[in-house]
Amino acid sequence: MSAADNEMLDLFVQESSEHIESLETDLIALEANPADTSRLNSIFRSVHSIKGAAGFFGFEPIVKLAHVMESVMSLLRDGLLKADESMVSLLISSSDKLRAMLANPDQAAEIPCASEAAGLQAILDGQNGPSKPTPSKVADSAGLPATASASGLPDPALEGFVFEPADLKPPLKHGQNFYVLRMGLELDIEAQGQSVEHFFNELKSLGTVIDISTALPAGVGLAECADHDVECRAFFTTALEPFILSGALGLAEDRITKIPNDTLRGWVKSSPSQESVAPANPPPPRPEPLAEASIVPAAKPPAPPSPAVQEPTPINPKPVAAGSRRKTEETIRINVGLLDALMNLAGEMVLGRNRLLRLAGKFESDSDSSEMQSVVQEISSVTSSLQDTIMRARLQPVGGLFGKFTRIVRDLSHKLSKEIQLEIFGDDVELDRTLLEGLSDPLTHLVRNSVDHGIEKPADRLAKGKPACGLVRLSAAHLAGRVQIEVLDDGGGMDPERLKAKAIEKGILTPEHAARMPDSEAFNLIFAAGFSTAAAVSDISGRGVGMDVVKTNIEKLGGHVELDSRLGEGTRIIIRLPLTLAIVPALVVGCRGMSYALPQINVDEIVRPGDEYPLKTMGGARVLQLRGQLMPVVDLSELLGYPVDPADRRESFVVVLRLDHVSYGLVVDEIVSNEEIVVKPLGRHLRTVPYYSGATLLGQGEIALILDPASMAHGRISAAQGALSAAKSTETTLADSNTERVLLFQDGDGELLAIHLTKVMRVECIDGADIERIGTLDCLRKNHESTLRLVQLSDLLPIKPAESRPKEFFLIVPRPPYEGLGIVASRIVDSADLSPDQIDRKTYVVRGLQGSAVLLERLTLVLDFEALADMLAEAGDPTSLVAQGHFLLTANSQQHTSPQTVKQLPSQPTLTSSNP
Amino acid sequence: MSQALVPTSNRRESQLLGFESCGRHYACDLLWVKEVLRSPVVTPVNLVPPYVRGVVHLRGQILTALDLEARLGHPADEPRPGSRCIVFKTANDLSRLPHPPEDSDLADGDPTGLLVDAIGDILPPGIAVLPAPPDTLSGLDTRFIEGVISQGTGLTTVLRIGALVSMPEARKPALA
Repeated sequence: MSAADNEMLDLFVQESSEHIESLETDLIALEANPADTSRLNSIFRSVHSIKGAAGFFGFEPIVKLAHVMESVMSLLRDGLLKADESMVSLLISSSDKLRAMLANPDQAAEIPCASEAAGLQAILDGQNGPSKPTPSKVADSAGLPATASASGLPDPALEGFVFEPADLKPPLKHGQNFYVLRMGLELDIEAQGQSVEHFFNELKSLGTVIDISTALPAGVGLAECADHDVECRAFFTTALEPFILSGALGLAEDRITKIPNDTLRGWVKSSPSQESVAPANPPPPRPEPLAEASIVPAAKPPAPPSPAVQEPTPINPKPVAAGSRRKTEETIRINVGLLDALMNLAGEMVLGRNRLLRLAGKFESDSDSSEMQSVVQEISSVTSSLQDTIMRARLQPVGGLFGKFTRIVRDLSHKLSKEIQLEIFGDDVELDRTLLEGLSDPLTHLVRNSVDHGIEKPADRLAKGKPACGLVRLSAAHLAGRVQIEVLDDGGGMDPERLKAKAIEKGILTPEHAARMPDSEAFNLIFAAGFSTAAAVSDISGRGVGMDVVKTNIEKLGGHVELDSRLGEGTRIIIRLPLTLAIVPALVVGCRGMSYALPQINVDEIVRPGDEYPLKTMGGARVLQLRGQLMPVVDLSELLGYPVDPADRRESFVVVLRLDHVSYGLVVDEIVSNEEIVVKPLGRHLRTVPYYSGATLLGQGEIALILDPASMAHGRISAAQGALSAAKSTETTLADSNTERVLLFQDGDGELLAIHLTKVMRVECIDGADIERIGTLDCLRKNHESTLRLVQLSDLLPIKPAESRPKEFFLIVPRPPYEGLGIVASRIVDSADLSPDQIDRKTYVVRGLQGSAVLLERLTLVLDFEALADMLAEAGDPTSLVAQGHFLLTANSQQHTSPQTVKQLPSQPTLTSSNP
Repeated sequence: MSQALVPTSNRRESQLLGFESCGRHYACDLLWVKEVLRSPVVTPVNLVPPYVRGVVHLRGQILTALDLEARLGHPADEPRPGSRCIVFKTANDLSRLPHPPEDSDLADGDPTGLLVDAIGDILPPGIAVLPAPPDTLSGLDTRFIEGVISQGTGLTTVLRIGALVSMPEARKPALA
């Protein structure tokens, strides 16, 4: 096969798969509403397109199956059949078979589809059989399209021709002969030195041409049609006898088929009126073997038992109904690589634009600078929207992904004999295609869970006073520059106590810890590895490898999953995803004057080694003593081959990196920034170094290499850990106590406030000069990348507002999903341990506060962050400030996944040492 | 080897781009050249082979900048050139040429460049290229040398860019 053919074949498979997708959706919708003609038409078109395209390529089995389906569909469309559940099931399973065939069209014959074909054929036979006289009569007389048409033609050899009884009457009356002539335009006409035009002129002089039909032999694609002969058939009437005709036209006698006059006469009589006989669509097979068999031998098995398989595909198929001109025509297919290249170039333009802006600033004093400024501004805005548009070009609607769940839910609910309705919202929300692919498996798992474990049996539901039909809702929406996908069911919900009991049984949780654990955290237990609450493992879900995989997969996509459930009312799972994968959040660190990027997903926290967290050397390996644990440490400068000078160990920062099973510290010289970076590949000479996973461009166009935390740990950490293991056992018990760490802060000289460190992602230091107060309700961009909305707690809580703030103050940035907020604090006081029993929940009862506690010998208000977030959402936004600052410490969003090993941010030294 | 017996047999079909590095004259097949960067900003990279000078930001892509002198095995004590960077075509660029150079299959998928001192003239096609002198005479690593052009007073070394940008060493186990 030539390259062009392969390309066409790919296109065919792609398009047909799309047709099958829409086919499935339509079929399921049809089941609910059998009289929906637009659905019927759409199904008919889908099947028809698949059949037509498969015919071009000569994929007989596909054509065969699609044909029976089409026949059934045409009966449905014409109202001669009513779709019932069994019929829809049959059609769905046929479309499955089609899909399987399309996956490997060359081997389509190996897919068994006899039962489907037979079932559909049975429907057809039942319809056309003598037992149902009304439709068959219609078929006979009116020449119903498709199936019924075979009986509507006077002679099978005439299929493909359009003619009316009136056309035949005069020649019949004159006793003329009727012929069907078959000629290869090249083989039979041009090869004999005649021109096609001349041939037809001669033909017309000999008699009357009733109709002509031109076709390519079966199995010949458009790409090859130039190499193959075009077969032309003519329905012709003349007074001449066959042998004379043959001589006159120079056609071999076997090319001429005489149609007996009696047959035609009988047919004309049986046609009461002027009704026309439409060409069979799809037409039944021609009885005689095709002359082109020698040209395309593979495509010609002996006459098939089922109709219309060998039909050559018409070059000029009838124009399809206007409705089939779908919106797809407004789109073109484009190579993803090309889009990536465009994206690169646009990014480049942005850099160039920034330089231009700087240059333009220099000429501000010039007299004609205003014109210059306006041009620069224009270029600037065009560049931004160019980048935006190209970014959008990579996005695809989630509808395609959501669509497949109609099928999954339908099948599962039938299997489980549950009644479930699937609602889909926001299917036009768009996501990067790589994200969509990665989302497919986790989402399937969640939907299956909802159907299998969530929704109860109809009887149980009625007993609980719910409607018998359960609801699963899939929705997608844009939220603060991210996409939120929600899977909601109104099923049984989850019992936090049962989850805890299970977790204790599995050894994931200690009973004491469980007693203290709030319900909202208990739900997160199901994301722990090896945790499954299903009483029995079903073949649908519940093998215990579910939710943790879902979580891992979603986090791999840079997303975040959250779960909320009410016992007896249902479960809601929220997935938040970035719009695109090409941009990853990273921590940029400095080492010997060079910048390196670390993927934020691996960064757990940043520690400033000192008296409280000393760096030690144990048996040749270096370790960091961190809150009672010893952690292996790798020195980045050493790793990168800089000479080690023990006298000049800077050891300014240790970045704690978390891998799947181990954490280790990376010693770096400085923390540069927190950036969203675009990953660029490295050339082959640089790929020899395993520590580099790519490179990226920072704001001013300088290059930072991206470090791979896994390969940096490789071979180093295990050695260090060997030395550690002995010491570890005695020291680790220290950290575990019945308390949680809180961060104490103050805004102005007001009350001392405490927030749980598990809720805090990072604390940023903000320069007051960088802050503008704009309006009352807007959020502004930080570093042109993300938005930080500043929250003054005095606006929400009955506390003293800050009268004045120092030049530099702090922002406490919560963990996802609230990372778009920043709580303003003028002073970070300390961190402290707080046990839940210490909180006085009675004295100070205010929404947004858990209560008060005495910490550091002062009365401290303990924030209830969830309530605060709700209050914020309700109140709108009283204050908005823009912040541009550098952050002081950070922690990774993965922490709250394993509640019993919650790590805390370092307390005093990190904070105070950087405190200006 | 038969070429060694026939002095002026090898005539170049395509044009050559001449350039200078450390006072020496070189030339390479113009078909390989994509562009020339003026005063590239080279970011050094640690742990890489000595002939890799670093990376250069090239319109959103990361270009690997090679050091010609180190690649050819010249001693490292000379000041290294860096005022120009010849950017070679990637495998993708070359595949679009109607007549790609013979060694185009050695091209990398990501941009690669060569740091040099100055760009010289374009040498016309059909110029006579003498086979490279033996290693012992030139002190050059002949893996990367296609031949020599004798022009006026000096000699111009014609480089094999395919060999230069490829990395047969990669098959050896990486250095720890």
